[in-house]
Order: sequence, then C-alpha cells, then structure tokens
Amino acid sequence: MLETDVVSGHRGAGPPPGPGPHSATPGPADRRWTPHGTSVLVLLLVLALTATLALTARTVHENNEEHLLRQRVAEAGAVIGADLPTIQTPLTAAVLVASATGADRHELLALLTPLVSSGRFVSTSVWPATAPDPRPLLTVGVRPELLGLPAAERQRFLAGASSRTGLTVLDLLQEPERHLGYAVGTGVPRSYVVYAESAIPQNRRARVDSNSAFADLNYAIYLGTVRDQTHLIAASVADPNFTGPTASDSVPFGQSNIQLVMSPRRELGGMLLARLAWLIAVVGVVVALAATLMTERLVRRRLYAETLARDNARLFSEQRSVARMLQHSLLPEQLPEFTGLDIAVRYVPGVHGVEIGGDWYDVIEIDETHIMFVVGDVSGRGLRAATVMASLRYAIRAYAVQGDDPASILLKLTNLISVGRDGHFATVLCALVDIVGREMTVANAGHPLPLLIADHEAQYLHTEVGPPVGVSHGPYVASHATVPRGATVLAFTDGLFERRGENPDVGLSRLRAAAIGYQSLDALLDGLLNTMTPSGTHDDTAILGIRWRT
Amino acid sequence: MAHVDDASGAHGSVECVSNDSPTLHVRLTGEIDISNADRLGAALERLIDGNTRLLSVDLATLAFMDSAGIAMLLRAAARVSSVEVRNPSDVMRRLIECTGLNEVLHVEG
Repeated sequence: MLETDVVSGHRGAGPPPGPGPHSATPGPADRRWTPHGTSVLVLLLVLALTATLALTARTVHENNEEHLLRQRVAEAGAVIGADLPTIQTPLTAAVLVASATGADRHELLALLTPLVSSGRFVSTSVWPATAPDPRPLLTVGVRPELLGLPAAERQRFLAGASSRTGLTVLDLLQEPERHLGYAVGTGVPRSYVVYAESAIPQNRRARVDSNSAFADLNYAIYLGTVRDQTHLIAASVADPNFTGPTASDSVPFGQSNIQLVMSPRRELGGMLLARLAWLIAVVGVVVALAATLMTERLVRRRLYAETLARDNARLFSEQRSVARMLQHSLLPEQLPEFTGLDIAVRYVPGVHGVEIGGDWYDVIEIDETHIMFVVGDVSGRGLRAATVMASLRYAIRAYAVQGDDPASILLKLTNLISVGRDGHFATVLCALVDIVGREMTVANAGHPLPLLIADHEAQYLHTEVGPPVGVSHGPYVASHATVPRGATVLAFTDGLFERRGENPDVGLSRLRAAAIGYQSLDALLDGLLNTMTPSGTHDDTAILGIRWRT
Repeated sequence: MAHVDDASGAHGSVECVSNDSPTLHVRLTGEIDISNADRLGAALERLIDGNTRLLSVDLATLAFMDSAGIAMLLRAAARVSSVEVRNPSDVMRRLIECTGLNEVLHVEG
C-alpha cells in the first residue's frame, strides 16, 4: 500500500526528476517546437529595428550616391565647357582673316592647315556667307559633308552662321561618316563663313580611360536636347539607356547645347557604405535570432522552475499525506471499550516536515477489568524511527498479553533497541490499570509524568523515572497509585507542552492549569490541543486519556 | 571544529577542547536540533578514538538542544564508558532529569 521511496526519496529540491508519471503539468519537452510569445515578440522587435536601420542606411547611401553623381556630372560638364573655346577660337580667327583679306588663299591655308594636320578637325573650309548653292571657296582636309546636304539647307545654315558672331552648330552629319559640323561667321552679311567638321566615333562608342577621373561612370553625350541615337555624339557603352540612377548636365554649344548624361558603374561612395545596409541586415538577423533563443531559454527555464515548484509542492503534500497515513496505520484503529471507563486518544502530526514521527499510543485489553495503556516517543523522525516505534509497540502488546508487569516490559524492551546501534532511543510510559479497583501500576522510561485530574484539581503522578529505552538496561521501578472516582488520567508526549528553549517545568505547569474545567474526556483532549498548541506545533503530539465514570 | 550552518536549520558546532586520553573534552556551541544533530553527531563521533573512555561535554556555550541533540549525545555515549555533562543550563539539567538520563549523562558543575 505504501511506496517507501516516496517517503524517503525525492526530498527537498534535488535534481529534477523530469516529467514522470507523477507530473500532471506538461514539462518543457512537450513544447519544444513552439516558441513562447515573449520570444516571438523579441524576434519581431529586433527584426523591425534591424529593418529600420538597414533602410535608413540604404537611404543615406542612395542620397549620398545621388549627390556624388550630380557632383561628378557637373565636373564633367565643366571639363567639356572648358574645351569648347578650342573649337571656336581658331575658327573665329580664320573668319576674321577671311573678311580682312577677302578670303586670301595663302593666308587662310596658313591658318587652317595646322588645324587639320594637328587632328583637331578632319576638314576646314571657307564659304561665302550667301549663295544660292553654296560651295566652299577653299577646303583643307576631307570633303565637307555639308556638301551632301541639299542646297537650300546649306544656304540656310550658312546664312544663319554668318549672322551670328559665335559658333553655329550643324545637326549631326551621318553620311558617309559621322561628323560634327560647326561654323563661325562674322556677324556681317555678305561676308565669309569658316566651317569645320570633326569626326565623331562611327559606332558612337568612346571608352573612358580606366585611369580617368571618370572611370567609375558611364556617360552619353548628345547634341541638342533630344536623347536618341541620331543625336548621340558618343557614349561609353553600346546602349546608353542607363537602367541605374542617372544625372545630366547641359553645356551651351553654339546656338545649341550638349547634353551630358552619366550613370555610375559602381558605388561612388565606396563599397563599405554600399554594403552597410546588408551588413546591418545580416548582423541584425543574427542578433535577433540570438536574442530570441536566449529569451526562449530564459522563458523556458522560468516555466520549468515554476513546474518544478508546483511538482515539489505537490510531492511535498503527497509525502505529508503518505507520512500521516503510515503513522495512522501504525496506531490502533479501534480502542477497546470497557464498562466504567472512557478512553480517548488524539494524535496530531507536527506542522513542519514531511517525515513520519515516532510518537505512539496503545491500549491493550488484559482481561475484563484490566487494561494496559502505553504512550511512547521514539527519538528522531523518518521511516527508521517509525520502524522502531512499530517494533516497540507490538513487543509491548506481546509482553503484556503474556502477563508481564509494566516494569518488566520496559526492561525487556531495552534488549530490542540501542541508541548506539539503531540511532534511536524511546521514552515509554506503561501503565497497568485496574478499572474496578481504580489502581494503577506505572513504569516510566524517561517519559513525561502522567497528569491526574480529580476534584477540579490537576497534579502529576510522581513515578520513578528510569532511563529511556535503548540507552541502558534500566533499572525500572513501578509506582502504584489509587485514583478517586471520576478521576481522569492523561498520558502524552512532549509535543503537547514543550516549547523551544523553555524549561520543561514551565510547559508542564501550563498544561496542569489548562486541564481544569472540562466536562467530557473528548472536550478535555480537544481543548488541550487547542490551548496548548494554538498555532500548530513543531513536534508530533499524542495524547491518551482515561476517565472513570462516576 | 565542526561547524554546521544550515540556511534553514540551526547553527551549532562541536569543538574539541582537549584530548588527554582517556578523557576527551568537547564543547557544544549554538543550537542543536533535528536539522543539524546528525551532522554534528558524526563530527562528535569522529573525535572519539579507541582510547577514549570518558567523554566530557561542556554545554556552557550551548543555547538550545532538543531531543535530537540528546540522541546525539546518547549515540556518542554508547561508544565510551562514561559521559559527563558540564555547565548545563537549567533547562538542559531538567531535560536530563525528566528523561531519566542522569545515570547515563552525569551532570557535573
């Protein structure tokens, strides 16, 4: 009926036994794959923080790139703008010479030939400002492609150029080769126009030197405002429709302008800034996972501790109830009944601890007019103390039935246990009662004296006190007493009157005073338990009372 | 000196004052109850050697001892010929008298 390991094992806060058959609440192992809400919250929070940081880094990076790109385009535009006077200046000089000399062939050749031989232009020529079908008066270099245009167009272009003082730019010439043509007039009608053509890349490609300051950019240069293949002067790539971010600048070029479109080939602000967002994202995710795992661990540890605490509390109460059950099973279930004598008992386990105590009482029927009552207390607690208690109790019954008197019984008990061997000793009060003659023969092995209550007075029956059982072999001397009619005799264990650090005489006096004034035996026992141990007692308490009926 | 401090239990100690075989003088200090009696008892019994005949226990600095402490002394007493108890408090003296232990634990002083 009893599992001894429940009483002696699993005591206190030992290592967790794990969710066993006793465990009513699910252990942590049951929820292994379900993260706790707190952990999910931590994960989401850290991920949100990471996303915000990464997006911020990305925006900063993009703004920075855009800013850098605009800066670079402006720089490139300035470089191109600075190059334009190298076209306009020699041509202006030539047209002035032509006007002044009436287009002197010798003078003009001297001026224009170096411009072609230096590779600055592929062709230079001097034209009349107005003519119905204009033809060059003088040409240095290849045949001007301007001649390929219809006469009316040529005439309009030259007339326009001559009416201005600055550079006049022709639309891009495509046949037979791609040329860029421009002319400078004098601003005076009926004068001359100096015209030049530059070759531009046939395939519209012009790579950027890798050592160039603009090596990290793709570009496209258009003549005029329209960005298409016809107006494309040159680009660094075959397809100048850049997919990435672009920035553009417009540089005035004669009556027209040059559009410069640029797109970065790589991060202008350096790779670290470019990768910062990803770096933050990766680190953030790692931190989020770590924080989640740690939170999950802490949460589970707490849940586990709570489960453990609940289990311990339950085990503790189980052990207490088992201990009580064991204790009660070792005490008499039913007391014999006699005419002329009331018998009552109480047993209260101590409030602390789960271990079984060693207190006991017994009432043995000797014959119709004689009983023997016993109250004893085995030192210490636990199963061993209970075992000693049981062996003493049944030994006393056997000796009593054989007809041994109380003193002889106690002496015989000294052979059964030894404090040196068993670690326990026992105090025993053993009394043989003659119900009819109201006589008692009492032997005492170190036990508190019995209390006699008669005629509204209580006093201790002074017995000879021998050593406790298990300490030495007696001697035990029986005491005899005759009690008045209606007398009550109480035997009890020290839990009823002892208080920590207090002289036992004080507790015994208190008990003596408290035992007066009760009508029935049951009321007396209940009253004593209430008044003597009002807030529960540390020690076990057993009380046995007999009362002669009047 | 065996010193047993239990967070939940009593604070007590067993101390060897002198060991002039065959007499062993020990001193009990503090409080002895069921929470520390077993450990202090083991410490006390380690002090007892094969030559010890008389165990003299000084209780002058003992604040409190319950039946578990008595049992501890009685277990030690079973290993020697005689035990004397010195300077017991009135409570201890009464406890020894009440339990009929005068013949086993001889009270001196």
